[in-house]
Amino acid sequence: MKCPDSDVITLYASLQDSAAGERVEVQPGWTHGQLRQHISGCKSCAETLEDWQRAIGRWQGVDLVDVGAFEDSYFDALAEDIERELSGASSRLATEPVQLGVARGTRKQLPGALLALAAIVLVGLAVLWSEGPIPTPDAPLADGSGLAESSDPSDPEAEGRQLGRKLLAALATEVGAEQSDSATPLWSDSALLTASEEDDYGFYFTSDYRDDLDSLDGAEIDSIIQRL
Amino acid sequence: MDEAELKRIQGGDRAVFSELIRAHQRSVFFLALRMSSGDEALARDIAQKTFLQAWRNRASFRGDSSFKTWLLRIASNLSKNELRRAWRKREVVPSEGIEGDLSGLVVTEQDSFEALATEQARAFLRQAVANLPEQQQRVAILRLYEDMSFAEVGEHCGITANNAKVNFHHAVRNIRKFLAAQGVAA
Repeated sequence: MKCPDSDVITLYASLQDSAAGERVEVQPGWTHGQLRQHISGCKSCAETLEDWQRAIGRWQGVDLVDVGAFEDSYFDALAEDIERELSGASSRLATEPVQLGVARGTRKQLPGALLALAAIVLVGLAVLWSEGPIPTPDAPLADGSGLAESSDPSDPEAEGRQLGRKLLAALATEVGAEQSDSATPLWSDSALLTASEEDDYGFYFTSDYRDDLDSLDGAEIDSIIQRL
Repeated sequence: MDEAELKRIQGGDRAVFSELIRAHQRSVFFLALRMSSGDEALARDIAQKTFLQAWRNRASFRGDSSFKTWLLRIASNLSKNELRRAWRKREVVPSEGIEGDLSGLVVTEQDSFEALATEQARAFLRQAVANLPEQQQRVAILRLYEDMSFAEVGEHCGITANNAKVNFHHAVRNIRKFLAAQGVAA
């Protein structure tokens, strides 16, 4: 019987632990059973198979990283870093029981929904308050005032315009950053959030936007609400 | 992990989670290190993020797979995402970063893989794996170095066990081709 192509032999090697059964074809004309029988009686094909398996064994022996180069002390330090990171980043959440039952996919959907809502509100504010074009972080306003326009405390309208521009600029940065990040979900079956995570806007926005929101004092917020 | 431990973690018990960090951090770190072609800083960062994400999403772990499998899945996805991000920022250019390692290696014609010094063999192998398509790379690392069955590899990558086998076959063939092109008979 003519020998199969060496690729068929190596594919057979990869499929060997298949539960498919002897009659299932590895390639048209060659079932598992036929290949097993052929290899057992063909020195050349048996060598191809052994060579393939030996190569895999050698690669496993070498490994991609030098595992032995990392001592226990390295992992003691890593564990401490992880603990510190956990304590710092989730100190608000660390001791709270997890609240079950939030719909799957919430994590990916909520930020987009919040951003869309924020965008609608801010565009509305911009239309009300701004006579010029909507600014971007890098583009000054047409009238040359730019994002660094100083506010006049005696003019609440100008103050409102400035705040609106700051928020729009921050939002534009945030949306741009999100659009440029097409990272895949980290796990397909785990997108649950705790209620406190959902309430925490810091979870969704980068520090730039958070800082802008945090920089508003009570009087500034009151003035915006009163204007509305 | 038994059911009592699982409930304690889901209830916010950091002490139990700390024990799991100690138990699994090596596996997580080494997987990240292999997937990031030996970038230690990146692997360390990925290990930290893995446990952070695991803690934040502990409610979603139902115990269907082992906790280690779940952690490794997070770690490998994070690795993939971080490498893509680094590539987008041009911090890492595929095939260039490690090419430098190879430039200093001298291989006599038709040298065999066995005859190479360990560090040299590792450098070639790392480069060969780094050059694989993403799915083949993942499958090869999980099968060769994480000691996973094809069923586990398939589950990990979201593909069937048979698909994992075919990917592994292509990965092995491509690694051999790459090594042969470098003058190394594998």
